[in-house]
Amino acid sequence: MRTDGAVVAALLCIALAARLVPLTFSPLPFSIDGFALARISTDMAAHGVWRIDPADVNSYNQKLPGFSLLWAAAAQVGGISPLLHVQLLLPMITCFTVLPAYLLGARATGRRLGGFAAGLFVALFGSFLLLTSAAAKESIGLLVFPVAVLLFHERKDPRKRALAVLLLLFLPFLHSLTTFLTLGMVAALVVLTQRRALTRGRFSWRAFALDVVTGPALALGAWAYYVSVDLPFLSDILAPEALVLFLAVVVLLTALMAPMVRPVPRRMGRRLVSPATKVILPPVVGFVLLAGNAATNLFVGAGRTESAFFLVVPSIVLFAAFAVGGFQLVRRTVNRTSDLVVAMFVAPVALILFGFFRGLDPGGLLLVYRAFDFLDYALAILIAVAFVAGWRTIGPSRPSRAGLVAGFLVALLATTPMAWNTPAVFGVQNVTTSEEFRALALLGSLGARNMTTDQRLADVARMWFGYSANADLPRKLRDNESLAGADYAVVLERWATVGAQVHPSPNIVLAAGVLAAFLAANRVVYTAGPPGNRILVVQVLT
Amino acid sequence: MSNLTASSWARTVSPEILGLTTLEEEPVVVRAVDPDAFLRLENAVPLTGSMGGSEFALAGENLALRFGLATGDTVTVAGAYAPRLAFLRITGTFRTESAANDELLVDFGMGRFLTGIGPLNYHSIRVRTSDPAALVRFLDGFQASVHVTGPGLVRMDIHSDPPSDERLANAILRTGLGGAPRDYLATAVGEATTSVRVVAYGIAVLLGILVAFGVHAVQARSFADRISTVGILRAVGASNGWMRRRLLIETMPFSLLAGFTGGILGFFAGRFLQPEVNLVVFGHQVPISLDVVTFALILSVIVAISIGSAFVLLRGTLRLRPTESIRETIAVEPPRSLEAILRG
Repeated sequence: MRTDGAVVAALLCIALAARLVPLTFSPLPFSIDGFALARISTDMAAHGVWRIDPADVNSYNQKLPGFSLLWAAAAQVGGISPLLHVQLLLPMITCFTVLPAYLLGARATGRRLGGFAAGLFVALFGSFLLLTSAAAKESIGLLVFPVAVLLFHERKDPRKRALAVLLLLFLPFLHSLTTFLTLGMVAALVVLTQRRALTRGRFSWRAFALDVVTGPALALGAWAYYVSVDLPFLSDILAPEALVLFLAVVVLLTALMAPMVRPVPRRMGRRLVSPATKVILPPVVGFVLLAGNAATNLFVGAGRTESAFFLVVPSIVLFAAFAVGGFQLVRRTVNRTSDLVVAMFVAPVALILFGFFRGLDPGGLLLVYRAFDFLDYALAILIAVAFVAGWRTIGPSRPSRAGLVAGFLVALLATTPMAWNTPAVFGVQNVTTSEEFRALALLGSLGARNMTTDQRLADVARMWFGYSANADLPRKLRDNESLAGADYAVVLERWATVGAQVHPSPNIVLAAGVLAAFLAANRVVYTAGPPGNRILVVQVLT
Repeated sequence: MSNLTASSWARTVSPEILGLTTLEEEPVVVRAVDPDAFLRLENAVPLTGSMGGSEFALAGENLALRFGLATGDTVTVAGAYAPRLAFLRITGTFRTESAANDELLVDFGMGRFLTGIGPLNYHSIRVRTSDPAALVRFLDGFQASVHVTGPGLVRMDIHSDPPSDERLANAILRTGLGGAPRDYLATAVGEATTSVRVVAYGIAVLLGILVAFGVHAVQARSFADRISTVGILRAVGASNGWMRRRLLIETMPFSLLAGFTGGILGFFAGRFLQPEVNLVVFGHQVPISLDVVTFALILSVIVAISIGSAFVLLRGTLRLRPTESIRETIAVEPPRSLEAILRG
């Protein structure tokens, strides 16, 4: 037990250190969503109530108040700023994601080494690191959902079932996508359990009803709440056409999943792990799609795969190989986590397939990339299984084992640009610098009524400052359109080099002459930052 | 536009947006116009229906003849440079002596939708004037960058160099230059999956793969019970070719029947569900229709999949040792504990 504690403590330290790195870029929230959450928390703390104002620009986040309520309470108790301290304190919570990963890894492999490998993967894998470093609802969701699923998996103990229900009741108020996927995983667990009961002739309607009522049926409560507050995006899935497609995907995956209650029989003399396996297809298809999206826009209207992303690909290929090997081991053996792995795969995969089939547009891309990181715990289990198998295969040679651990660590660190260099890897900037924030704050003192800038700064201006902000400045400058209606503009010099962010569309790179002409024709009232990367507040005269 | 229209020397001002589309796989020009100005400029004669309204689609006489169109008919057109589909109800027909007689005229809203051209932008503005010099002065004073040509005018380039490329497409259809906003959707789709046909075939292939998986899974389950029969037949001297022929004879009628029944059931289920529920894949609605060619194609695909799947299953069985295939259970390793394997 003390050894377990020491390993988990070490993992927590690594995870926390990695999640504090964004503080070196800016003390402000490491995501645009963080400004909305901080604003709502500030208002809650100031007024002492939770309100949903449909006219408010933050109304979507007001309808999902879990994060803001907890953060407002924490800020009041601790006497801290909801905006300035969120990026310091949130990692202290999200670093605990290593705990469920350790539990899952140790449980799957029966060895602490497996727990350590799974925990290390969750602590440092770039994509997961990005989400759990950011001040966003999803970052807490990624901590809560594996706990809920794990508790539900062990629902024979009524206390664990009750705790799972409690968490499943809380999730709808935290994050809709997390709720949706967690309920999907729980439903998959129910299918697997009942399928096994049917096979063994132990099926009981009572047990089935109890599973449904304390699991997937809780979706009704979430649905009722979301309908009552008119949650945006809900209609994307509940529209008849979308629902038919989604149900088709669910039926297909349920049919494919049901036989997975039994291990795959292995013929005499065949190896447990082989590279010639059908399991290799999904990662191969994934890589082909990523490569294809680099050459052309797979999701029409959204950005392409950035070239810097391919620097991360070798590490991802390595982890994909680990996951493929781990999956074969899990499926061809008797173990305690097969159901968990299958359930934790099925729900995100269903949403990813739905995102693809629904339409190759930015909405589809949103579903695909948002769902991807919910696979990370299942991947962590598989990678841990493969890692332990590799550890055992290479024998007692210390240099070999040290090489395995070092290689694993290096591969993980090689994925961290996904979290720490998002402009290069994903073409999206998440950092709002203090200088940019001050420039936006200055607009208030200038009495700006309508301002215009790029998508990122316009979101911050709307969400935190409550300005009337348009995000169409880069497009209008590029197309030489009139800026009528805007009295101030915030311009970044780097729009002429790396481009202006108009997520999810690709960045707009302006000609240097266009930017210079705009600045010459209007009045620059504030400048900050070094030459070449200056932030300019401009009074629009023309 | 308002400056032009207000000018006393401009007798008729016709702003226009040009788009290219297809009807029944034939190329067609769709032109968004102000119907009054355009028909006046073209000296057009109304034939049937009304010539205006906020939403309209007017077919030139030649176009109507070519496609058998009449007032009240509905046609489907695709976006010119953007992946868009629109359904147009023909509200009237007209006759002109110009190329417009073979065109489809639509309102500006529809024209912008089909071409992706933003508000206040037009591909061309035609002006009828008795004072061309006034027009040139206006353009010069307006700081417009234009090329002027027309009857009674010496060709000139105002605030611009002479055009280097005379092609129509470059002159009027380019986007991203000359102030017309670039349409991300159009650019991206042009590079990726431009045509509706590509998407349609993509959907068909996807559905085919799903069906193939389903058919193979069902046949594999059914064939699993007959592996021992194959072993016995081999033991009594049946050749591989004989068994393939036998399997083909057995599979063919069942797959035909299954394909026919499934196709018919699918059609009626689809008709029952529509119009409340539509199947939308890759953002495109999958229509439910029963035409003989498509049905025969579906049937043949299902038969081909079934036969292919059967041969794959038989090939796998023929690879087994005869003793192994005759036994009730295939020789497999007993499942081992993962923990035990990992502990060594």
